[in-house]
Amino acid sequence: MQRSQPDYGAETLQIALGIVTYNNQHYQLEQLLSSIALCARELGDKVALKCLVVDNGADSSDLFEHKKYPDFSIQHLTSQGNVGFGAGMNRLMDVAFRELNCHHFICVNPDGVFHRKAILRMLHMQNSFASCLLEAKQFPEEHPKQYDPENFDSPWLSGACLMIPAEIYKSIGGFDDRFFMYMEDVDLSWRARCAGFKTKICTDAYFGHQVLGRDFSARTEKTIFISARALAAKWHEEPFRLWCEEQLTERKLVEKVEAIPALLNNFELPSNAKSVVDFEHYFTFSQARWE
Amino acid sequence: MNGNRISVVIRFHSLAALEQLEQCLFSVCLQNTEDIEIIVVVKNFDQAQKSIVEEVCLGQPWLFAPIVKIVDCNATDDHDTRAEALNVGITSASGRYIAFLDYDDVLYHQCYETLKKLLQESKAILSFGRTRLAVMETIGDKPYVISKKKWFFWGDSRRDLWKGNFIVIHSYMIDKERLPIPLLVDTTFTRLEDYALLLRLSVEGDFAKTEDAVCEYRIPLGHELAEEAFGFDRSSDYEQSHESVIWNMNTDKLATLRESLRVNMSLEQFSELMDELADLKKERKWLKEQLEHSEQVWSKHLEEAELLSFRLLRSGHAAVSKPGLLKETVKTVRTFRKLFKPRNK
Repeated sequence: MQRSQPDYGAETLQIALGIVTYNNQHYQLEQLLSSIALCARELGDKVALKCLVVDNGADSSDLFEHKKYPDFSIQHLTSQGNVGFGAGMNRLMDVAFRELNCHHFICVNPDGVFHRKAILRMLHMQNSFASCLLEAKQFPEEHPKQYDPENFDSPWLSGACLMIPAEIYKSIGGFDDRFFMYMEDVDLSWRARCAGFKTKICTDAYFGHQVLGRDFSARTEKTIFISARALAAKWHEEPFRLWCEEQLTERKLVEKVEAIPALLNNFELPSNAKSVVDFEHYFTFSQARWE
Repeated sequence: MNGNRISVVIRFHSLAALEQLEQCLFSVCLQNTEDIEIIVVVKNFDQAQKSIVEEVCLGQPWLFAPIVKIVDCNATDDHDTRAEALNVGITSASGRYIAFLDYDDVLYHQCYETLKKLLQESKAILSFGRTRLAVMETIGDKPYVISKKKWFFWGDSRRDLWKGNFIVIHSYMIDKERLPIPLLVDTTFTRLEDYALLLRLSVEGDFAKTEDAVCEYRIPLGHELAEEAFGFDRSSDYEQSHESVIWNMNTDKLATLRESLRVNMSLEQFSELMDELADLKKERKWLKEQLEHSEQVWSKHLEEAELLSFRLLRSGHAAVSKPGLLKETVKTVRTFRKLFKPRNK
């Protein structure tokens, strides 16, 4: 179905795309940038895209210096080392919303690729609903979490390709940077829902991202469980925290529980948290449509 | 014939399905294949319509620019051209490796890399991977995946293929250079043309396999497999439908093809096959005995397990120490119950 461009009013809509790299291969970034160029062409003149990039690993600046992308601008920030995904994104969000006054920020995984209509369709959806956190659907394998196919409400959203409007950022801030990597997106989604915002999935905005057939190293597995434990502690879910600790030791990812970093919790549990959080379904954090 | 190139033949018959075609192409683009040729076979499209298709093909974020060909089947009437379309595509293909794809299906990452590598590292004429089945529904104008599962995982060899098709059309790749016969699809088939082709190829050379899922077969809710695989109700009108009649006719044709095909093998291969058969018979007998024994043992333990799970439920202990444990225990007990339910003798 052909759809016209959304009405953004007289003002040019500013969208920042935040990319935190971590030793990504050049071809991955190159393909991501060419997909952004295709998106920019679909969006037309009334939308300005700006890529904000920071390296948590090896320096990727030579790619951005040599390749020219006339359809959007790129700002490469000086690396502060491997500060974690959430902290890296927060820095970029800060630039996007405080310095550049962007209307929206999109977290973009560096190993993903946009479908050319993805951003356009996300904007259509933002226009159709009140300000909401919005996820592009990962492709070809989407997350099995159960969402409402009629109003697109999803219990939580993945940070692989996530649109955050300025209004939501101003209200709840960015990621909790105590999560080094993983689960920070679940936490942000729950905080947004507790604050009264909707979390929706844009089901025809595709973001090419390989999720099947990936091998998880022991280090990655450890990071996942540590983040899950932090999530459970933050949201006062004692059984899940204990289970994560059990898994960390049983899988020999840590020698003893005491070796896991201490949990600093100064988060005041919102009164409506019970209706939002879901630890029943383990790492799906919602009912799953398939295993 | 280009020795490194993969030619992908995509069947596409209506611009109304352009959105699906674009998804399909996006999945091809994500393969990041260095030398790839996209051949979209259309049916009686005019130049403007072909240009739209070409624009969608080229408008993907390709890492390596593909060769794009839009070719027409030029059917003179409205007959089904699914088999002809494959032949038109095959004729236009310049690559050594050839793969097929329908506009409404998608590939997983690294599908082509895996299949090509399998061919290069073996002497096989065809390599294949596993397929996941996705049952879809359109709600409003948006696609919704109701469920997915591994489905075509049961077959392993060419011999399994002779019993039934488990190699979906977009889950394999053919090495044209190794084929002892011309690659040609039998156009008398108006359904099951892909299976007929596989059966003919299966008697010509070895197949190589990966257990990895390489693609997704997307079906609507009313499809027969949605009922078979997921238990969704199928329209009761199907048995009387035109489609059902055509399907049955093609199934009969397939039986004739099976009758006509001959397997050529050496005495050594034949002897190996006989040994394998004898082993299988022994294994089957052993399994039957084990199953009977298990039934006796489990019926004894089942009650104890159930009692334990309900005690845990009552005490609430399991739910506190391990979330989901209780649910898992009950699920396991139910599974055992189902598995070892005494069968009617």
